[in-house]
Amino acid sequence: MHKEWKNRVIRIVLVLSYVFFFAVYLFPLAWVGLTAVKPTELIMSSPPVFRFQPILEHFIRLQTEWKFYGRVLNSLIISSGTTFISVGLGIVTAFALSRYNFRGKTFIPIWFLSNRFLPAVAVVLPLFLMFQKFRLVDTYIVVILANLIPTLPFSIWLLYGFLNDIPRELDDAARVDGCGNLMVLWKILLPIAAPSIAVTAIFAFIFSWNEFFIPLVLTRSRVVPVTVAFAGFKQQFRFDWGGMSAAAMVCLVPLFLMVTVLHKHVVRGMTLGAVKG
Amino acid sequence: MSGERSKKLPWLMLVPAIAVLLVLGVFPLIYSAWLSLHSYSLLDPSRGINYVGGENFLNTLTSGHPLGISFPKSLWLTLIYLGGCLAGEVGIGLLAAMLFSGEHRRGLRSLRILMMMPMLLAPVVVGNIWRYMYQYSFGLLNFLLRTVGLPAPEWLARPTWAMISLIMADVWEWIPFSFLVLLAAILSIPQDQWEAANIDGAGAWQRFRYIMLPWTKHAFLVIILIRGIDLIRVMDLPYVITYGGPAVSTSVLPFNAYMLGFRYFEIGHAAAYAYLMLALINVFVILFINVLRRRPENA
Repeated sequence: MHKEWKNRVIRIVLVLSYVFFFAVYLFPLAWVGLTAVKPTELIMSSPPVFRFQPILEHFIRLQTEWKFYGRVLNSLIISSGTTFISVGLGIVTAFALSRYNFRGKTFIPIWFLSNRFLPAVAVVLPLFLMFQKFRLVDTYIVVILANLIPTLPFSIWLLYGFLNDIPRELDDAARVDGCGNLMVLWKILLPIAAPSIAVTAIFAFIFSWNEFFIPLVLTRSRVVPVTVAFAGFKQQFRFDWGGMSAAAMVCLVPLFLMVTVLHKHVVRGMTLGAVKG
Repeated sequence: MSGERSKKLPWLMLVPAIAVLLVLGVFPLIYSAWLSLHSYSLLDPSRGINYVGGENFLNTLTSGHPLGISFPKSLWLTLIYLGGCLAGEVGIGLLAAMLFSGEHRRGLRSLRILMMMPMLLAPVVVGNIWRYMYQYSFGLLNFLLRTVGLPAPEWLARPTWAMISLIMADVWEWIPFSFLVLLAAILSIPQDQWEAANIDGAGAWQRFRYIMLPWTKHAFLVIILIRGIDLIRVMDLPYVITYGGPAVSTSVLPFNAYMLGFRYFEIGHAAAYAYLMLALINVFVILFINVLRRRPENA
């Protein structure tokens, strides 16, 4: 009887500590969420105001003052383009890496991955000079291509791991039934790997969406994505905290939707497959 | 599968991706190497591109360029930043993972989704959220500090506090990463290990030292390697939160390289800087792999 009571206390303490941990940890997000609907004149008040009539003005100003939703559209176009190319190329490449024997079979996957860890300046500086010469700076295609530098190696590597997890017996069975190699990829592996491909695509999308340095250098005004616009809050809108918070909330919504789909695979994606999670 | 065809086919499939990365990655890298040996200012293109040998590298080592901070000093700042962030992320991540790996973790699944948000948010967004938190007069942090009666620092206006601010924001963003990786590792420890420890009457420290650490070693290494490289090469948070300041107190390497190339348009200097960073990343990875090899068991 006594022991059961003790267990219950332990459980309550643990649950409370979990809740405390989460509350403290996620408080900055809640605070910014609150600021997003707070009237401007109350934002800078000290001590902070917690009770007020919520407003949507900041979300409207995002468009009227900064054309923020246009930047969101730019980000969508760029990230979709990068995701499409890197997952498409990634599947073919990962299939070759996973299912064939060739010289450099251990070296080539690592070479692919190493591109993900290049310091961006070393690569983007020459790209900037070249693209500028051809007057291509500030176009979608250039940003999409440059975003491939980190995203494509990531997609290849992750898909490579996913395909390696699919037993080869399945391929062999299909070959016995008369399938060619590409048929095996198309008819057997792709359907089985479909969820993994979706996961890879979502990660590629998020990483491309979050990319800052590359578009900072390669865009000027027309195709500026969300991240670069966001950093611009610093210079032009230094003290517009309401607008900043509203924009942060806009960025949070699609993310939240994706994560709910993704949450089982987050560890694998973020560790480049090193931990299966 | 005919022999000749099956040799060519994999390469046919590999070539597109290899070509893309050669054109977008390797070729620019070689171009950068060439640029690093030349003086080239976009502000004064009439001077043209002149070969200067190792001068750009020498200039970055002293202060012979417009940054106002030499490479060694910036390297020192970067190492402080790196060390602080890694310590915070691994330390808090481990604590949280141990706390949440207990038996009473119903409801964790739904909370986990919420917990992942910071690391999936764009670093630029995270940076701005924290810049808001750090505001001196109305920032939330200082409000909390004043409420409990502690002195409220000028987070972004003092060199030491600015570095601490950067580290805190980065740790906040990446705790979920180390937490999730370590949690996965801890949950994968076979139950019989703990039972054996129980039978042997092992204390808390012994369980931690002889079961937890060896079984989670791989996870620690993954975290340190991935985060370490990214902390050396990414400038998003310093750019947004402190912009290298006050003065040059948070001018970490990637930020300096950006400033040289795209604020001062000193292309040659920026390329040299980029190569020094590349070398640093290589040293980090090689050191790391050697440490791995030297202590194969019971780390």
